[in-house]
Amino acid sequence: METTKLRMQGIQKEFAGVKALDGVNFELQPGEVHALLGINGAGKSTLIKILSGVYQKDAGSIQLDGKSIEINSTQDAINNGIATVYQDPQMIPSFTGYENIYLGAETEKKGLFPRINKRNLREKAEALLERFPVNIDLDRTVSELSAVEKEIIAVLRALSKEMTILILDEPTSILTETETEVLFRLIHVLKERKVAIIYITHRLEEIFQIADRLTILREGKNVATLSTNDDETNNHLAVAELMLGKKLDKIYPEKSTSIGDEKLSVDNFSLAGSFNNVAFKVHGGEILGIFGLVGSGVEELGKTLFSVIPKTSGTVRMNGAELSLSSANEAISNGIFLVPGDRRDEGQINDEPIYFNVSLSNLKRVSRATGLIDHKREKHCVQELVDQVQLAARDINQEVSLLSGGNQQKVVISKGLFTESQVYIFAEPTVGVDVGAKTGIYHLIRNLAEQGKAIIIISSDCEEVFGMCDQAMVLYKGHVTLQKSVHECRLEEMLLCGVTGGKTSE
Amino acid sequence: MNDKKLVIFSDTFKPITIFLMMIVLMFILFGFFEYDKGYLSTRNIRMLFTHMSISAIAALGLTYVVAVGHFDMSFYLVGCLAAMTTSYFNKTDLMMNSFMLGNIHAFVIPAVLAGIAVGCLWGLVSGVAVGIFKLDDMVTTIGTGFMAFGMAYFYTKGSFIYDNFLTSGITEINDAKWFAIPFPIILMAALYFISYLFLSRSKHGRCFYATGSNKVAAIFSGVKVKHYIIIAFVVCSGFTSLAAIMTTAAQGVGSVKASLNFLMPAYAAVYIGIAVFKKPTVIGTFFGALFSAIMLNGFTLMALPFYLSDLIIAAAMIIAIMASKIDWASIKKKKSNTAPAIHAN
Repeated sequence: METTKLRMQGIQKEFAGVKALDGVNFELQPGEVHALLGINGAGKSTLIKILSGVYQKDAGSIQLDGKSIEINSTQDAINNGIATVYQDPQMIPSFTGYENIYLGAETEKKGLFPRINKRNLREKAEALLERFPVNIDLDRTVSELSAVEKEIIAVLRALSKEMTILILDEPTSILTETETEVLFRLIHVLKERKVAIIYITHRLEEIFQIADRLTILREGKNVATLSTNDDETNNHLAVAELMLGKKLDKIYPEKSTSIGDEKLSVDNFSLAGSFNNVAFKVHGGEILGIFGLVGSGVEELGKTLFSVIPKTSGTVRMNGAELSLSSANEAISNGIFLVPGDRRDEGQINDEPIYFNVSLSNLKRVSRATGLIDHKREKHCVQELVDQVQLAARDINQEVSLLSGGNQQKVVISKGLFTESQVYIFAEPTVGVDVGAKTGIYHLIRNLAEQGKAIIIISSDCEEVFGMCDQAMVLYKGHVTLQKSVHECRLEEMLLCGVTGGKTSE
Repeated sequence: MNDKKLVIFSDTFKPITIFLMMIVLMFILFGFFEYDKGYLSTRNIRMLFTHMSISAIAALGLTYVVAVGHFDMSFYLVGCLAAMTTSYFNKTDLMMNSFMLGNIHAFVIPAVLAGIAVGCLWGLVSGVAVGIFKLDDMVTTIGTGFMAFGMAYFYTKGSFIYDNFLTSGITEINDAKWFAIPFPIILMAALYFISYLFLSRSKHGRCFYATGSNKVAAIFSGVKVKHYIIIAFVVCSGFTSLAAIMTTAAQGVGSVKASLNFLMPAYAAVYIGIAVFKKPTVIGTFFGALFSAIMLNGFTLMALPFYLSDLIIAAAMIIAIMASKIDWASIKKKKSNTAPAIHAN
């Protein structure tokens, strides 16, 4: 075996008396993709931040190529060839790809007006692409590029500075499946060039596709370091159990047994440019799952049902009566609530406390006739809901931005519960939520159905739709390609309809 | 992360304590230097609050706009139009022929209301432009503001209106006293109390802050974002119009430049409030306005020229904005590190 690229030993880090890392070891070989796993709070992001110089370790040692080094600042990390690529890298949208790669390093010349030789930069970028062949047009401006192309630019920027260790922080969470393929191809190229990669993700299936080894952290300690080639490790459930430290209950709750009256019925529902002729019925106690990849129109379908986007045509009936909705406000007062997929932008008021967020959609419920808010009643109602969803927070006065992804999602769900709606639409309910919290959210949704509510889950995660729902619908490029009871269809069939739209001829 | 000490001070009382300490300190400072000039006399303190009430009411209006996450650069110019409108009605024959209510002519009331109505109308224009047509707030309100300022010249081509000011009773807005308290102070107290209930205690207040904090999430939560933006601009212009009319009454002359110096003090009051309360609040703006008023009053007694007071209050505003950017919690932690993330390099 070659010399170890990076060796972190006995790393300790404490925050206000809480041990975030307690003697963690981590090793990285050149040309290796090493996945770092753990549920939220396990310490993986703390470890990465120590390596990239954002935090300083309290104890432990870091060795690079066998030499002991100290990383006291982000600049130290870069000088040692360690770079982090975030899932949404910051760039200048109006600059071209290669201009962004060499941003801040355009020229060696000094002075007030150092001239930038664009052709020179272009040539340097070409040379870089020759070393790391990947299919990308560097002459286009970043604003025209897709998410994966932006990530590739960010990786190339790191490589242009001769980085030898790359940290990829949830690189695929905003990518479609085809885009993920493109990124994986680049990772393979990097491996051949002996770049060592630390790969962080919530998606277990990816690890077995791309990683050589995986290290699992739990409560700030090492649990295991495994090779993905072992048959024993090649089992999602086993890895998930190691992450959680307990036997994982079945991730998905039992399906519905009793279906009530028809709640929502949608006919001939269209939004120009997004989806056409969608029709479905949802009954009380039933979960309808709508699967579609990014760009298939599923995202818009949820928002149009919620009337945030005005529909082009179609009818929506609630309990048999036709609704004409023109805003989210009207949708909510008619008993429809959307738990949006993009929590940060659409779901929550970040710098306000939990109670503010939970009661926002139904302030009438906690205000007196004068319009003033009855704080006692509000605190009481919110506390009840927060207990019901098992939110892990200091108290309901805590700012939402300080919560973890799973808990933020629970706040948004609580906001929905507070409206006491009849129909709940969940868009991407578990994006950015760790495995442990995922199960909790699934059970919450199923509970809601058991109370007689009609539920629609919209997701780009096929397994989620298959596991959670009673009825399934698949959208491909705005057209319905599959619509039947989940009991009658197979996962592969659903996936095929969503990915290729292909006929299910067998 | 969360020190126990921080929890003892509740979220509202801690900032109020900070303000009270600052204000007591300033009273001691000025009181010490200017005891012989009667700084701490009842008369001076009454005067301080009377002067404060005008800029405080304008700042209160601005608080609404800042709460919905926007800026208004038009309110001080709209005030000029409102002041001229009221002055214009004040000089008409209708005024002198109207019956008397005590020692004022009854037509003063519709004249004042007309001024405020014109101001609100202008606020509506800005609000619709920003809220519904989604135009850039800064540029749009500079435009609407200067349109109003241009309109203010229509009445007299810009010359002063002195007519009837001494006889119509309009100056009573400034001079009247109820239970020995000057009327402007009562107006200020009433508007602040109502606004406190509305912004900090009512369901509508929640919607203002939700809109200001995250417009998209507010829409997804069923908040009628457009309505609240429009209301904010209308309230801002309406309150400033009232303040401008109060200035007119105090000066006893209708001038197109009535409220031309409202801009900076109003922003200073709001942002000093934000520096301590972390968001635009009614109480914060009140203390911000009080803080500026104490300084202004002290400097006046020290016979500093007016432009120096402007300079000092503007500097206080910038210091306040700087202070509000500092994350005190992370400074307390000794090992804090503010190095930028790698991708920023």
